[in-house]
Amino acid sequence: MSPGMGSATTQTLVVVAVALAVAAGLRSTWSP
Amino acid sequence: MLGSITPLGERGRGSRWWVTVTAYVLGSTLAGVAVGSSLGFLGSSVAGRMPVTARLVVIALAVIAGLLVDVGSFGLRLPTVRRQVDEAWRAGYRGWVWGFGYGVQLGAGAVTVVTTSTIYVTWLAASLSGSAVAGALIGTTFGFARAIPILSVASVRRPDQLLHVDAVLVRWAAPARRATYGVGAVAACLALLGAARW
Repeated sequence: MSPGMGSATTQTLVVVAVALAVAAGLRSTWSP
Repeated sequence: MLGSITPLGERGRGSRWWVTVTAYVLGSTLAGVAVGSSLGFLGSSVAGRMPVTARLVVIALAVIAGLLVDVGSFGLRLPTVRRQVDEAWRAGYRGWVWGFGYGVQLGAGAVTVVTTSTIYVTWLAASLSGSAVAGALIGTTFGFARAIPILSVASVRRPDQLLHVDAVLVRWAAPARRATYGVGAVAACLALLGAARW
């Protein structure tokens, strides 16, 4: 991981956030 | 948006679809990078004073609260701007200009109509990520994922094909909504497990 994303807990946070980002991005395909 | 950038439409406007799409995806991704890294940087002072486990719990709670709003619990409705991209741009500007402009607006996430709480939670997570680098990674992912479905209309060269795309979108709307809920639930569980584990 890059600097600033060192600890396992931080990596978990980033993984969670990236999963949310993918879901949010794809779901927005159905925005008007 | 998918129906707005098709080879059929771009041919009619005298533009090359791949140029418009490249600008669109680039604009969306760059906007995601800009918003994500900015939030990561701005939030780092607050995030730095919170244990990561506490941040994970906050994100999990935000996901759960967002899901409750998304399904309309307690009569709640998701707050959003009503703004959409300006349709007139397509007639007034070159393809790559309006493509990039549309991408920037949509990749920013919340400057046009927001249909899912996961957008807000994604930006919250970027704010709590602790650094501009992590925020940029989160924002890049959002911006790219927001734009890349446009490739699904790459073969639309006739009006009936566009109607087919619309029909597919309608058919997949409900499953996509449920899938988003599912990802949110899994993300919340993972965040709570991560907080408990460490």
